[in-house]
Amino acid sequence: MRLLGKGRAGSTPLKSRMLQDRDKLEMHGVVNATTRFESLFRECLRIRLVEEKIIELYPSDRIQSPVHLSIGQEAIAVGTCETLRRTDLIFATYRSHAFYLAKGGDLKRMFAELYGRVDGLAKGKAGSMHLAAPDVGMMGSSAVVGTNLPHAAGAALAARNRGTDQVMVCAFGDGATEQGVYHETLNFVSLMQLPVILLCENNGLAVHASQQERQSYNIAAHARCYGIETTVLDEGYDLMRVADTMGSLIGATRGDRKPRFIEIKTFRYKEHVGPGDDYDAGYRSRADLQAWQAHDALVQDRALAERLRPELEREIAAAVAFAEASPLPGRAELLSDVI
Amino acid sequence: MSAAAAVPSLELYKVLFFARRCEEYIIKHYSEDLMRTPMHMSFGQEFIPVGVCRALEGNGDIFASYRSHAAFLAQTQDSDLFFGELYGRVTGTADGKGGSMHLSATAKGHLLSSGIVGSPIPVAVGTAFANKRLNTGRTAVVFFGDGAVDEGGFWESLNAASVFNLPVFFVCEDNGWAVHTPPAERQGYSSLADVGRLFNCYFFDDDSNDVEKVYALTRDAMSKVVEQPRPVLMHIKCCRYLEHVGIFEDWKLGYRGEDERRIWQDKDALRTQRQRLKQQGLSDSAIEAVEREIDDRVRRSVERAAQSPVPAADRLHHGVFHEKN
Amino acid sequence: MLAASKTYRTALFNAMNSALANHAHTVIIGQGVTDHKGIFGTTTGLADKYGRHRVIETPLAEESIAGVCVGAALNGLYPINTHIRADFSLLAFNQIINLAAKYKYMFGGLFEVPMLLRLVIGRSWGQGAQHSQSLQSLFAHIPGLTVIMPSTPESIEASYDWAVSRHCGPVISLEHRLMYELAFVDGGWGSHRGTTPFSSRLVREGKDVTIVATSIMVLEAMRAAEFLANHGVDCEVIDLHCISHPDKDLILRSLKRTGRLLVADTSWPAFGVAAEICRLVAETDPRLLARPAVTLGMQPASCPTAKALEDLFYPDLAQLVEAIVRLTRGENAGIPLPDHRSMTDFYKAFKGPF
Repeated sequence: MRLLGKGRAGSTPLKSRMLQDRDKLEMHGVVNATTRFESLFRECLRIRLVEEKIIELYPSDRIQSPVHLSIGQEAIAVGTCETLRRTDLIFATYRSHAFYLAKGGDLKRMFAELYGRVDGLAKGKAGSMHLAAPDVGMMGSSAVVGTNLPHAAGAALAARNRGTDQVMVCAFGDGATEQGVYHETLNFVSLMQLPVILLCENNGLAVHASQQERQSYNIAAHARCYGIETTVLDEGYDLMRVADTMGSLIGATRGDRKPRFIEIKTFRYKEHVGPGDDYDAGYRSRADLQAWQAHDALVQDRALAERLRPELEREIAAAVAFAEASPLPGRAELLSDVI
Repeated sequence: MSAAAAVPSLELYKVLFFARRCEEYIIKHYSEDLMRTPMHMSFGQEFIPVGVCRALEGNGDIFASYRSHAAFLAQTQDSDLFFGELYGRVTGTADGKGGSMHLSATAKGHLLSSGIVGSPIPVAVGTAFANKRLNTGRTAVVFFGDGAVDEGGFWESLNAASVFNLPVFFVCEDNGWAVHTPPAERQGYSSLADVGRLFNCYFFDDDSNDVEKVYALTRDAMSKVVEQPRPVLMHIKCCRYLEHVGIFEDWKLGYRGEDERRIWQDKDALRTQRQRLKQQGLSDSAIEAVEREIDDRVRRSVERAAQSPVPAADRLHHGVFHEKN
Repeated sequence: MLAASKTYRTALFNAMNSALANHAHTVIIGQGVTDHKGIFGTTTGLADKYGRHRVIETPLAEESIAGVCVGAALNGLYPINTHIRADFSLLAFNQIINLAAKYKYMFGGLFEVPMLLRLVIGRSWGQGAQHSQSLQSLFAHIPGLTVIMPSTPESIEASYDWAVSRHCGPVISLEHRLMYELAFVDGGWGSHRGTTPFSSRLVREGKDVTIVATSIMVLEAMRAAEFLANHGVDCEVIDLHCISHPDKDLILRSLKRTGRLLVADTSWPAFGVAAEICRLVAETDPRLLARPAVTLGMQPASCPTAKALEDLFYPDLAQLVEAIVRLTRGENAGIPLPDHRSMTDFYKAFKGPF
């Protein structure tokens, strides 16, 4: 008898990793230092420092995996995961380091995975584009644009049939809304009234092409035509607003089991794939970046960043050391997990 | 000249009658088992492709679904090719290899009928792109059902055409059914007009069941497109009189109410147009003469088809890859 | 003692009903599963019996629905996705091949995606190029997919039960339309030790030729064997059944005895099942073959609608018998051939569409 097991989140709701941490800090008397803003900030900074460590390591070729970095977009993942339970499921894309970490994915296993080592979260078979951590509800990240959309719908269908109160979040970029499967999924979740939050991280770019070159429609207006409650948030840099908005949507969906749509404007600091900048390529300017960075708390609140940095850097260093020490996978791993 | 005076009522009736009569002959002869191809009949829906194709005065590049008899006949006006293909003979459009679901006559502007729902739609967009680049003066038109709107490929195509300002005509023949599944079980949007209008296209909708209305809408769209090229999305309501596939009615099955039948058949487009001709002053005998001539033409096509040779064995392998004949 | 016969269609219906009755988290999802035709009678009435949350009608959106099945499987349901024509699954290939097949592997074993895809191979008459394809080799080529082609009612019931209750990954099953109406007698299909319901089967012992067949070609091979038994040719028939994981040892053991191989598949020989069986033999020991292998399948063209050409497109019994005779006896050998009647005309006196 095949058991309900692998890859399926259990039924006991637990608080998100971040809330647990905060509880612990409060318990240990660090109450005054930890405001909600600081918790969110810390999570975002952690992600950014991880990404910056990847950039630092990349020229050494130790990470032999294309990396689609989350720098600039961390607030969305962090704000979403603040409220999500372990049993709620995230379906993200190849640009999912932030969601992986914010949802509670193990940092050591992430670095080992990027290094292609056997102790990686997927024994080295996944790499950066396919991060996953089912034990904390981070489902498989796919590199084919739009493919995660129906997965979230299907998982929501399962939640309905099984009577769980899980909330599904599907994160995708503005480019994904051009895919036929996006339209099909929008239609399906509306038709079936499924508990999915469709979260569009709109950084205005599909690789290098602007929205204007690709889309003849307005994303939010389009979603509204399907009778789906739609929100647009321009200030995707604002940690508290993102967290409040997502918290409210998640709570509402948990209660009424209806689909929701949110478009959050954001900014991709780095090139589409890779560790570098490409502001000289001509499709956008450094001025665009600077305008966004003026609102980026991680950039602006230096004092807080400096205070939190050492502990985070220690954690990251330990994760890198873990990766470096992990053995390479071999033939056994090559041929396992096929069926 | 006013728009109303420009509508060729008699021509429209002739083509409507021609399409309907061809299908009536299919029904008459199907049980002889000489037309061994599944039939998705246009009965009830002919007025849409007739209105559109005749408005384009034959300059359309036509794409259609497996339910394309009326589109093929309206565009090519060729019942010899039509029946030759249905009878599986060398006189058909493709040596009988295509059959009812895969009609084509590229020289006459019917470029593709496809059996996979939604699949002709992006092809029509590509043809529109080529027409624009090459300045051919032709207009790509794709006919599809409301079911095809469920397919992601439709939306990708509408977006692409809108972004590139391509004057392709997307004509949705909305008979309210995808096989036996009603809109309530398929559509998460409540108004196709609302969604369609979000795109950079000219949107038209109509539930008149009237060929002259469709003709007029198409002429209107054509003039708009000349002035400012954009795709056209036409959402035309209609009724599929017969079963999804086959030559019989299936009202008794109950998945569609008798109301639906009555409402639409009361305003049958063919009958409406015939009455219009009489109102315009044509006598019964004049109309009957026209009908007899068309009936003769169709009957002879059927006879010729039934007597034409079947394709030789070597035709099986012909045309798999591109060959110079 | 012969068990009572049942039709292939009845077995399919039983399998669907059992899947829903015995496994609370099974859902059937696809275009047409709730209508009066019920995927040629295999899901009729099940929506009323188990509810429309378990037998789910869909919009025409094959790619997303396949993805929905992946997502549902990831969160505890067992989805059965139907395609009333195998050809329509081509729209879902992105999800089936890029996601379902790879989900377990590319995440290092963290997930499983158990699900069943039922694809109907169109064959009656006049189906034409887009309603007739038999796509098993496209799927079987992809690591991660398990592909079966059940050839009897018993294999349907055993295989589908195995898929739903035991198998932990995606299963693609190709059902042949022409077999739906056929009633079969239990040939002891289920009772072989050391095998699973997904295993290849030896269905007829013989010493002169090894016929490896799939789906309805198993029935054709048995017809040929019966015909030739009266003319002194003794055929061994193997029902490949699991296209993706054929029993190589079974085939090789048979070839050791007969030295002659004929592969009869429902699709094109090139790059297909026939090609794969030949590869298995060539890579193990080509000396097992006393004569070159023979492969039988669709002609190298798309399927034409016209009956005159359609009858040439598919192999018929006469061609199969002739091929076996030439393989076992050299040319002709004076054995009379059965008439050139198409499979369609034999299995189904067909009037009207689908």
